[in-house]
Amino acid sequence: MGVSTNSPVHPKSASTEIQAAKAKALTVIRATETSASSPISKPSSPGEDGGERDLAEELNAQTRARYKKGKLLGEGTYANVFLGHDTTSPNTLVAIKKTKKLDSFKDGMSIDTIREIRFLQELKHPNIINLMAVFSSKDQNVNMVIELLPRGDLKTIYYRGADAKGPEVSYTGADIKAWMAMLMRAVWFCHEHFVMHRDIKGDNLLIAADGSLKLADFGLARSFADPGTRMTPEMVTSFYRPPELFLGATHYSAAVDIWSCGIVLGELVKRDYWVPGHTDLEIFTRITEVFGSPSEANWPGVTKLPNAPLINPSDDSAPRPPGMPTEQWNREFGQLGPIGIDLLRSMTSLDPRKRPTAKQILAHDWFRTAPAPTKTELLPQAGGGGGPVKMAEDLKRKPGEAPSDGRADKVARKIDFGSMKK
Amino acid sequence: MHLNEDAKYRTSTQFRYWNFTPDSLASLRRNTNRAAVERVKAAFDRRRKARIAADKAQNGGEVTVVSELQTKEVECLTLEEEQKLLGYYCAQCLKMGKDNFKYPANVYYMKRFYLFNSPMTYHPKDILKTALFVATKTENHHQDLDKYCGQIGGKKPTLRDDVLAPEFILTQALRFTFEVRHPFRAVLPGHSQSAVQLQQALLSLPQTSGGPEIIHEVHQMEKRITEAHSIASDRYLKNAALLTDAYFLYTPSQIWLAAHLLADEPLTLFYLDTKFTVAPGSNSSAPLKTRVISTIRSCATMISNGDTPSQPTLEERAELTRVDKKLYQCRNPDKIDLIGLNKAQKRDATMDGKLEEGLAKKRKIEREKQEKEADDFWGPPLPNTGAPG
Repeated sequence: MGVSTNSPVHPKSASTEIQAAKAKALTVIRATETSASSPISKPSSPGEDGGERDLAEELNAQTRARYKKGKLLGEGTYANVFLGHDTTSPNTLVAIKKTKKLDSFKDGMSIDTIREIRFLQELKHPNIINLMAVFSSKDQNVNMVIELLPRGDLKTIYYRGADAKGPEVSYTGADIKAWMAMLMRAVWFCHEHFVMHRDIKGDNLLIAADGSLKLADFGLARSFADPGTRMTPEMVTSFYRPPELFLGATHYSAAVDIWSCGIVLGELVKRDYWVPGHTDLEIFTRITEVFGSPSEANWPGVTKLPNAPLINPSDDSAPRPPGMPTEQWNREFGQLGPIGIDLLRSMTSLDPRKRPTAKQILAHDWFRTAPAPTKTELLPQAGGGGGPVKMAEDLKRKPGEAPSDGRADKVARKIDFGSMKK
Repeated sequence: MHLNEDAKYRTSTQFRYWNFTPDSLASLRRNTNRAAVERVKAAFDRRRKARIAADKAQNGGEVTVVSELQTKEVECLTLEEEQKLLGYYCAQCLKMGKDNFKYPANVYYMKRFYLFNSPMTYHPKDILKTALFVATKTENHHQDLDKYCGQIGGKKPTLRDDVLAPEFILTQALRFTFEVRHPFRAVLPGHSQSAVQLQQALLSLPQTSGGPEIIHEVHQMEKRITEAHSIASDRYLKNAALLTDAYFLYTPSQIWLAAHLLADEPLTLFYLDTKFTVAPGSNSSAPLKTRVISTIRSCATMISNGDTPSQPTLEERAELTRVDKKLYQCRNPDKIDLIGLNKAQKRDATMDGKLEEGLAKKRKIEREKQEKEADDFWGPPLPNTGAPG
């Protein structure tokens, strides 16, 4: 007790009454919850400041007591990730992401953490990472209890670029179809709930023990804006960022996620980055080479976007790449078949209004033509590249951060066309 | 592959954690008030006893001074007084939030917070600024804290710590759920839907003489729909609906329709009619329709009861002053200095952390020693060459 040595024990009657009242209140709260799984421990114990615990403190303490932290899986500047388990069913292993209060962020809980918690609390879907509980520890850091996804991420499986690690895993067009179906279901679910993810990439697609794919990292997510509300274009890791964001659009839609999904699909076939670059300008130039140059003809309104003058020189003699010729698409993405290539090209339409919705993609013929998507449990797994430690690496990263492999820009979020300015 | 409105709402934290029956809501508040009263009394009692003990020690076992503190039982706020005070501060909160958001989540952060906490424990004026600041983070209006402090103003300048110290208490009491599902999202689509349906209904009317008049009426009806929509949203949804308990008791669509009903009852009933079309000769959906309408009516009653002038009357003001004065006397003395408490808690945790660190280091050395001993016995592990299988 923190009061003083003079202080006698609480008057018994008062203390028991508090406990009774609190126990009753807890019962009321529990009765309103749909998940009746929370264990009822002793209703009251001393609070952190020496007095009795608040009702909210009590609930928090119960959650904290339920999940026990085990060994440290990964340490980052942004968060530490621990292996943990649920004491009510000790066989259930979990990952506990403990966010760090960075000195650089002095404004309390970081906005990325708040966003991630906000959306993951709402979005419950088999292909979205499951946030099982949130609690705060004594040092006032937020702990997120997340389902353990021990098989690493999708990029580890597909990426065979210059700096690829681990043995190569081979997979087929049917496997790609299965992964894409799971990704699109997750994206469809987010969009149905009016949430844009804004950071879809291979590193954020984690693989569960049963082989299913789970969309993770909602640190950049936001709900759809009302018509007329401005949004920041400085979102999405640069290799997966759609052209409208490079052009500085402040009014954009869920179609930004569809572009990123299209790039992931392309990378699954190429097994390498598709539109990489050291600078934003390089990446944007690469986009025009692959997908063609934006113009009023193929994208009505594009010339009114803030960065359009930089990209579309008034000088008409400047070369405007027409994009990859069809035979090259067929050569590079033959694995998808003509129907698959058709889908890929529509997902990566320059004009966001021409991209299909997640729902339309799921209804696309590609998923219904042979080969059928592989059964989840038969999907190939990463050989050596996965494991809980890989999951920890993915979880502790800051959203929007590209892998530090020398090719990617480290502060990926800031769009920088500085080198363009004359 | 279709998620209907209800299915989506049922997965939300607003439904899972913050939805109540009138009885369970009242009972939760009663219990929160009772627990707070007991704690305030216990805290005063502890202080009184400490004081008497100190007196005794000073005066050789004799109690000399019997001050008011030592005899007078502290008078605590009743549940009704708490609610009056909270009503006032929530209205303040709404006013502050309106400058910053279209969707003032901060009001419901306050209302949710005070389901678990009493104003006697945490004064609403301390929580107010933090609730708004957390809402700026959750609702994409985030700004630098220094700038925020400058904007908030007030009689006394707002300091960074004033805003940050209660953040932990607040987010914990919100149970780390930050989404507030508002009825606003339904307003615009509902508006255009009723316009379309109305036109269809008019088109299906039997042709009568006087065509031009019908065009005139369509024009008028459009105006009426637009008016109903703006009254529903500006007068009711953005004000009274937020200040009442509607969000705890009804779904966003019920709240939207209730506000619309208050704005234009015949139009709303017409709109609902179009949603309950039944095959001729069958009345199977009649009981459901009756139930829906009666739910909407009870929600509308709640909202219209909350539709009071934004400025309290003189009498209300006097009553608020009285309650506030009373609160001044019965605040839980252990919880007044939130900034100090927050600092102390962080300090304790850091000390705990250091302790744990030392322990971890000791364990690591032990483990390494054991591993080395095992190696000495079993030989070192085989090199991992990834031999072909």
